[in-house]
Amino acid sequence: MALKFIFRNDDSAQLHTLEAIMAAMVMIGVLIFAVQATTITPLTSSTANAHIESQLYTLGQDMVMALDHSQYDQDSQLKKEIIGWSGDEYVWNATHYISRTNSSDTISGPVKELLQQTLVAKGIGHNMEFTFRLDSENTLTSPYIYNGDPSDNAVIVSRKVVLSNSDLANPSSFENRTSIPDMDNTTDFYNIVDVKLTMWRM
Amino acid sequence: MDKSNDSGQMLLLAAFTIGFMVVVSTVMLNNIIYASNIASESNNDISYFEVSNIARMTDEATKAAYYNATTGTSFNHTVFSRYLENYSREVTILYAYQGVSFSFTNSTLQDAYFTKNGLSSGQENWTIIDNVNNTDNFTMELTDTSNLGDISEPFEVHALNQSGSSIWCMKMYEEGSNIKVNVSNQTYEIDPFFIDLKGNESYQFDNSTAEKTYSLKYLNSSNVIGLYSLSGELATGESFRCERYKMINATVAISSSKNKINVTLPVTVP
Repeated sequence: MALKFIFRNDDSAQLHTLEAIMAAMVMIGVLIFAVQATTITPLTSSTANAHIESQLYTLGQDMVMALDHSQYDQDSQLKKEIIGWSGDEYVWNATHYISRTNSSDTISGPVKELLQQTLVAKGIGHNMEFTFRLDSENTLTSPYIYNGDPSDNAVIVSRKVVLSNSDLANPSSFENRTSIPDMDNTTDFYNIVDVKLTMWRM
Repeated sequence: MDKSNDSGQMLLLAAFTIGFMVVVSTVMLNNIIYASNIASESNNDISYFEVSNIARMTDEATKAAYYNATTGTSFNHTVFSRYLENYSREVTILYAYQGVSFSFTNSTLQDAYFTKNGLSSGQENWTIIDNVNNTDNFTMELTDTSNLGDISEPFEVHALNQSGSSIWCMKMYEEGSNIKVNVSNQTYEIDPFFIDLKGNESYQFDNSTAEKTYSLKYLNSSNVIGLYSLSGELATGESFRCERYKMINATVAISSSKNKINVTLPVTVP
């Protein structure tokens, strides 16, 4: 029996294929748009947030490194900030960092200028804390600047500063003010203060 | 009838194709995001930032320990070692909280070259200080001049104005068994164990630099070993002090679960 082939002059298959490709392109477009939109939403907890955290981390590192720089036998601005600390907690009031206990007591100097021009200007929430050892077993963290609880995607940049007795005009007065104790009474070594800068997008 | 059956098959096939393409593109996009996130988090281990912090702390602690040990009449090695032991213990504990192991060892004090980092291989043409308004004190004590060349390759100290032109220059070299300096085409035989560049009026340092803002620079500084002391006032009104008596090699070992870094830092004191 001879086979019989029937050829039809019909272009609907081609149209269906074209339609399928177009539909696929539309769906891929929607998908790409959704992923891109997620990347620029700062507070969305997603894998895309790693980029925001990385940017904040780099910004914070650059800030504390600049503040910790010194030359010609002078103290760094970060060390001067610790040495001059009154022991109070400060909060940003839209113009100044004011003490919680005495509103006329404000922070001034390069640290305040840098935080104001870099973090406040960009709307980045920030806290600064000083962590130090009290004795052989205990460690204390004291807030220096506190602007609220950080979000889940906050980053912490830490810079450690060595203090010696020769850095302090009056070590006992400094200890009374700040609660940072002298960890070694036999030499000039005083303590190491871990300055922690916490930053988050608001 | 045949045509509508074919259309059903084509629609099904198109649906499968679309579904397959969506799955493939989603997996590909996910991989891109995952890879970039892994890359962006790669700096969370021991980073250059931590190493720079440790280098800075160690430099400061060594200088402070030396200062503490020389408060009395002579260098007190016990005080120097105890200071650094306490520093090392505290840093070790602080880094232990971060899951990082830290250890610190220091060498004995050595005579320093006049190079930027104090080592013979250090940068020998370098600027000690910029924007000087006034120098109160500038002295040198050369403990070893055996590397000092002749007049063709002298150790040089320059005061440069803000356009980089030399306004004062001293060339130091060996001639025969004597050490000589040449300032403003005048040659003097000197005692290398104490040179007062500012106080000795023959050198005309004050006359040449008065009422000018200048920087001080060493050239061919690997030729000399010893100590120098320099203090004064910057153009900003701040005081400065640059001193170098000795140097020490501080070795720091840092290790986490992923990385281990050994760094030897040449620290000049005080």
